[in-house]
Amino acid sequence: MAISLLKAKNAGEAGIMKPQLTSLIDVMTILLVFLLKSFSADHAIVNIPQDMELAQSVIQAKIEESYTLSITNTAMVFEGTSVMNTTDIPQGDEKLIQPLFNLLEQKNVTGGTLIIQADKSIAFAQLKKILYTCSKAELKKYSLLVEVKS
Amino acid sequence: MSLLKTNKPSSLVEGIDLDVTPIMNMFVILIPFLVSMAVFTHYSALQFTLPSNAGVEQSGPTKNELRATLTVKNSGLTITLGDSLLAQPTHEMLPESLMSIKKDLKRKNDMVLAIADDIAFEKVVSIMDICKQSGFSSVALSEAYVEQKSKGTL
Repeated sequence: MAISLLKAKNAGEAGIMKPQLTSLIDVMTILLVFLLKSFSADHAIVNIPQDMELAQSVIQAKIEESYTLSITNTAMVFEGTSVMNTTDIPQGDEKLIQPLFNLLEQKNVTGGTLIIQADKSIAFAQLKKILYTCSKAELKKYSLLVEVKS
Repeated sequence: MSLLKTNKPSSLVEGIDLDVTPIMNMFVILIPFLVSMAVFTHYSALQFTLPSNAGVEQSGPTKNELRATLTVKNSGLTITLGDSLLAQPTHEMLPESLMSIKKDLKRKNDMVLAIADDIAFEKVVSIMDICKQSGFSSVALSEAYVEQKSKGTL
């Protein structure tokens, strides 16, 4: 009964069914506003490896364009070029990581900015050797990539 | 007067159907595009420096301008200024301790984090977060002093 009344109400003079689109347009408009708000053209392109879990932070800071060094539990990658396995980082007192240093020299990064994206479980012992090597290659500015806590 | 005559009765105006097809077409194109481009995970970059004099004792006129050092070890946290111990807070009490020592420091925005080898990166970020929130905008990373070795620098 109700359906037949609705059909009669929505039907035009020629008896053609005209669906009510007002509520659908309302939903679409809200969705559009939300998506436009979350859309930002100036976001830096960040490629996070699948096996990497970033540390979380509450600090929000803009990501500047820079060299990227990615360190997972298995691999170290500089600007898309695989450097070595993370497990091959020298143990003990030796601080310089020769393969990384050679690559940085080859890429001529002197005076540049480095952003380090490291897995949250990486030990500082490994990180400090990486930082030491980067400072030897005369990189000047350093940042850690983190995920902003929502 | 003539205008009044040409006005349509309200019953006729109610009967006009708007053609929403172009709007729907626009929505159908825009929404999938925006969904594909939307950023749901936000990333940030925590800046830090590598201090040339972290952990190195200084003397003479520059001693008053030493940066405070926060040593992070599994055994606990220690805040020092040169040789003098300022605080030994727990992780929970660290923000309060940093705020209380900040007013007595010459270099109020600088903090050196001396991290032990076995500390995970996640904890380093967490401590950096607390330092930056407490007003230490310039954070330097260094390695913690180990008794067997001479004081290290990066």
